[in-house]
Amino acid sequence: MREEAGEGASRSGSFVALVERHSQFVFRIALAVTRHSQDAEDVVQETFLQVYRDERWKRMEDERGYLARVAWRLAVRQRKPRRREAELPPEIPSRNVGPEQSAMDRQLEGWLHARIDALPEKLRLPLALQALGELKLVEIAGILGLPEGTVRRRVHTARQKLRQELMDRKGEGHER
Amino acid sequence: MNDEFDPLESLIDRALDSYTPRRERPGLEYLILASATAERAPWWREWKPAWALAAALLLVAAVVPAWFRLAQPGGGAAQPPAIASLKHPPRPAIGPLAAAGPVRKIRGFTAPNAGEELAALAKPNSELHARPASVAGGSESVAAGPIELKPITIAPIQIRALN
Repeated sequence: MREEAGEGASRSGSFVALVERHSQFVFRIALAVTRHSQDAEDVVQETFLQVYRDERWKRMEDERGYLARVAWRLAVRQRKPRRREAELPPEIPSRNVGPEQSAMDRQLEGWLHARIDALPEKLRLPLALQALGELKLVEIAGILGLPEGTVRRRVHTARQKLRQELMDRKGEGHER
Repeated sequence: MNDEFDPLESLIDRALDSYTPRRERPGLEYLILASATAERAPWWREWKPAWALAAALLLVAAVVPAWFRLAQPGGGAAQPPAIASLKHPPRPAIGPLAAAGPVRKIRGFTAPNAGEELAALAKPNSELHARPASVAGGSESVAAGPIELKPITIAPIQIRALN
């Protein structure tokens, strides 16, 4: 079936190769923006369909950059205000910590995710894209259509805000 | 500021790591390719050049014979074929006219004498405009000179009472 789909999608098979190379990357970008896996999937499909429809995939120079830009644009459009509270469960990296510590970490990270979601979009998006760990600052700047310096400043500001909120939270905890 | 030893920074890093999970989405490629297949153009659109060629051939087949017909001598004003078999049905006779007998012929007008006309045209203008004696009226001789017009007097209208 997959071969049939591939055959239908592309005579030469290079569209299939493109999908295999970048679909997960595009999905992560879409997920970082929409924070909803079903919406992210829709965005990925629409991204590749756009590329397929106008046969852009045959003459793409910077595949990653182009796909990331399209996905980002679609994902921003897809992101609904009611979904500011993400449905994604926090994914805690496995570390050698006890169950109590792990529960605390999970709670704290969940809280931090909510704080990241609450950031203004202009701060949240560069931070989320950088958090992917797959894009250089210059690539993020290309996707967002902003100067690199602006992106760097926004990421820094976003981190500062989170840091401040963490400090406030800790302060409140000590007061109790 | 050294981020490596800052517990807050490392906490933020960890939160950001889990904020954008790196987990794979199984079956995503399949979904994309399936929707691309569904998007595939219908078969007749893939045969676009063939359709264009067929249309061009049809056009040539229609135009070339007509062009040759026009190019032949006398071919431009082609006469419609005579319809031999077409016969008008006999006209029904109209009752009263048929009873009145043969139709009277109308007398033709006589043509003017061309010789007289030419002679009149050959006369000089003065002769043509001379006032004939019969027109001047009565026994008075025709005096050469301008015609005198007597002033006409119109009596005022008198309105009488009706009663």
